[in-house]
Amino acid sequence: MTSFEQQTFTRTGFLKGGGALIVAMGLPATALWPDSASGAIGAAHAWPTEVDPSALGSWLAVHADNSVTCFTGKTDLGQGNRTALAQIVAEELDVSFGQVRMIMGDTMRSVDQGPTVGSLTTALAGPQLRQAAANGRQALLSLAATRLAVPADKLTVKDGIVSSVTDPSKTVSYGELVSGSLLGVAMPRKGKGTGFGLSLGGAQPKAVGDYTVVGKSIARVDIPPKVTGEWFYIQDVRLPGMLHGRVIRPPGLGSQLLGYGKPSHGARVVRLKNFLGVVAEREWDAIQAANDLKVRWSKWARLPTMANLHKYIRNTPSLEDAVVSSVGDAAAALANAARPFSASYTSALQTHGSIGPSCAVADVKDGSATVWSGTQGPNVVRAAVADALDMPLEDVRIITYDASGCYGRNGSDMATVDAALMSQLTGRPVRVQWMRHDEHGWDPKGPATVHQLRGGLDANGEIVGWDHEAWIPAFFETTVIGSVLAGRTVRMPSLHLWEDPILYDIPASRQLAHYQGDIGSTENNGVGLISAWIRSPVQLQLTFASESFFDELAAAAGADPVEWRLRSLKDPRMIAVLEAAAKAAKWQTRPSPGPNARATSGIARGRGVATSLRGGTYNAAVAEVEVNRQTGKVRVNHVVMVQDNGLTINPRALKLGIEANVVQTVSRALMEEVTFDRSNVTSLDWEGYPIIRFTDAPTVEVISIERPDLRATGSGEPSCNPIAPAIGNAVFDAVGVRLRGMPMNPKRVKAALRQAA
Amino acid sequence: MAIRITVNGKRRTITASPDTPLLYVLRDDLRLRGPKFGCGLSQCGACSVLVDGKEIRSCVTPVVGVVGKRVTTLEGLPALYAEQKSLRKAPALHPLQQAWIDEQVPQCGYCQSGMIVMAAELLERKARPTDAEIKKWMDPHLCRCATHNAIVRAIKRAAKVTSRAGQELA
Repeated sequence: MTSFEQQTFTRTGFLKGGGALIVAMGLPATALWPDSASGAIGAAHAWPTEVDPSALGSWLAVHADNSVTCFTGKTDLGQGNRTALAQIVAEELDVSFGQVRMIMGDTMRSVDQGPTVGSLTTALAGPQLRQAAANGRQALLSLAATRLAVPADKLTVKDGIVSSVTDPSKTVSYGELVSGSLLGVAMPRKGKGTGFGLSLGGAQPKAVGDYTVVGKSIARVDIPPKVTGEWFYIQDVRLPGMLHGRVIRPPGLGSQLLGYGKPSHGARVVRLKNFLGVVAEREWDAIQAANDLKVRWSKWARLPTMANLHKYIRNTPSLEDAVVSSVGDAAAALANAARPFSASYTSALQTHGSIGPSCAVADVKDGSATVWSGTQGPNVVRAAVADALDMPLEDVRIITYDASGCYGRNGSDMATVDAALMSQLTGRPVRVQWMRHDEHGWDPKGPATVHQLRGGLDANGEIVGWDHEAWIPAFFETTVIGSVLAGRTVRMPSLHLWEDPILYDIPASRQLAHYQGDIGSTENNGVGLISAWIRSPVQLQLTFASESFFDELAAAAGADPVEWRLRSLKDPRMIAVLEAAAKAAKWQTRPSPGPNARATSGIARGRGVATSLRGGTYNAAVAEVEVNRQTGKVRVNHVVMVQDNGLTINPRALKLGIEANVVQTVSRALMEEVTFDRSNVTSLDWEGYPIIRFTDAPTVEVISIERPDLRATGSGEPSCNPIAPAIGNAVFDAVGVRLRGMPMNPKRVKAALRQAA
Repeated sequence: MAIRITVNGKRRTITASPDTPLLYVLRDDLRLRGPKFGCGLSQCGACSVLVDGKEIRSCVTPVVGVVGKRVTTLEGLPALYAEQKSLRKAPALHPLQQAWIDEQVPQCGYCQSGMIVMAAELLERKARPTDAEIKKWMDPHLCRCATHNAIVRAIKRAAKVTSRAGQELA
């Protein structure tokens, strides 16, 4: 039996020194692989607080068999980071792709490169790995020069075999060069940046024109084991002596635990203040015991009503206001505009909706904690676990395994703290998997937002002013619910970036952010409906509002929506993606609404366009929709998505990722809305919170504009941004009615049609 | 109590209460990693397995309910395929698994075991399903990464292989 724990626990302790080690070691490569090596370390340990980024051995290990292990603080959320980063390393080291294995997100063994968020992995972590690999190649060449007695500049490398340019009989492999020896190479750091901001110096990386691995559609390494059932997800991690734990959350955000009865099924109750759960030897017993346990909680019902949600957001005093951008005097321009326009837009709360509820396994004993997690941010959750357990950071190790897709901060970090708390309370290893109602109920929610847009046209129909005021979450931090319930308040750092440049050349404009706390937080000592962005942080909502309203101005000016945009665009890359989208969609130049929009019955068809710029990645989308005037149902038939993200590491993986992201966002744009009552979330399963299915998934044409000469920017998220406004603009084209609330579900569509009639 | 079930062609004896959902027996006792816990409510299909060739949701099926029947998980599909097509030897991969690789279907992959199992039943019922038939058949299964289009492509690709297999014997 090749069980997980056998593989895990027979190879212990070989890397106690963490980043201080290696480019070398005689260890077989398999000993470092993530599916066999993670796991128990000796009992006594103080793991490094930081794996030293300036040591080459923190990044790379070369093995006797000429294979390479690369350590990265990044994780793979299902979009193929593992493969893309390995391509970058293979390219720079001059080894074949198959020679590189990745170890991802182990706080003891991998450099903190920042959490895997914001489509920043190939954009920021890619260059870090590229530089480390370039330095590794240089160090290995220098060793080879000595060994072969050939100057380094007369050496060439292919598949990790170094040979002399002038005498091909002189060869040595990387593995032979380093086997059994340590190669302590220090790398210069540029500046003091860490995580995302870490910048390394050293050898000159390759010219893009010489690439043979980067830019190729290499098949993803995780896919074969994922289709045979061999892949280890976090949900598959098992430890000897492990208990199964389930959490029991309060019915209201502010409910206090008053008491509980006897647990069923031989389970034990674990409790710390309001943190409550059960543990049992068998999983099904834990599940039943959690269902059966009689618990008395105090009543708490101070959330706003759903109907009042957006008014509540707008009227709650903000934590901070910030002018995000300002050009000219927008207020004066709008006041003097011949034709002023104003509209408010809203978006609903949404759930990340991971198909696999969050899971973690923790082993807290002898003053240390080893925690297996599906987190996006191993170093972020490491600090949260240390705080929750009241332990020094260096006694906590986080080992990351791939999880069910998260698309943002789902319940993973929360479940990680839950498992750690339960293990500390029981003294046993504990595996916690959330149930469906836990994930739907307690994953941090994609936030609801409110937008006030104002725009002005002059007498000639040209835009003279623009103002976008948005009530959006502050996100200085994300509350970890288990810690709060246990009386160990922990807030994890988060981001509140409004990174929404005004795409268009408008003489006077302003963007103003009102940064709000979580919904209900002022009514409950700071703990509200906890929120965390779903792709793409704040910009999905901002773009829905701004690109819809920009279309309103186009319609007011009687302009074709594509031409209207092109008229105000200056950035050639944005112009190129928009023109490519219009061409692929066979866009017919005419203003919206379309000629049949005034009909009153039947199915109406329309098309809409929108653009976005996120983190340097340009997108333009054209959506083709059908609107059923009777039922109010919007169906998206086809989407053209054009993207320019500079250099593409893996074109096929990129296109498939975009295609999926588009369909997911169609789901969010049309149907997804978390429901809640005055106490808590009420949409606790897939019936209460439906998502898109096969029969409603649109076809997608993805067009990638190749710019290998430009730096790689992100791709996981950006293409979601123009989807909702493209759909809303297409609905306007079809029926002449403007949708200003997301999701654009039948209820909202019918209300808008009624209002217009 | 001791319960004897047949999973992927092997007889297994496990000790569990008879109402235990099959999923926990497969994952916790038999240590299979194909079927996944998704909802426990028969809503998503991540836990799907075949019982006597028909897709069921193992998260709501008591383990006693499959006594005397044949359970096939993702891991057992190549052997089942060999039997269905009277092949002498089980291939390394069921044609659907190969097609999933060829089309690079999974993003996170968590739902894909259930998807492949569901598609395996479809291709036994209908040799060359149309796009519309595939979508309708697969509709009860959820994919949050939204790989729906890639899944449809993979099923069509696999159908080209499965519809021809075994013909040489006919």
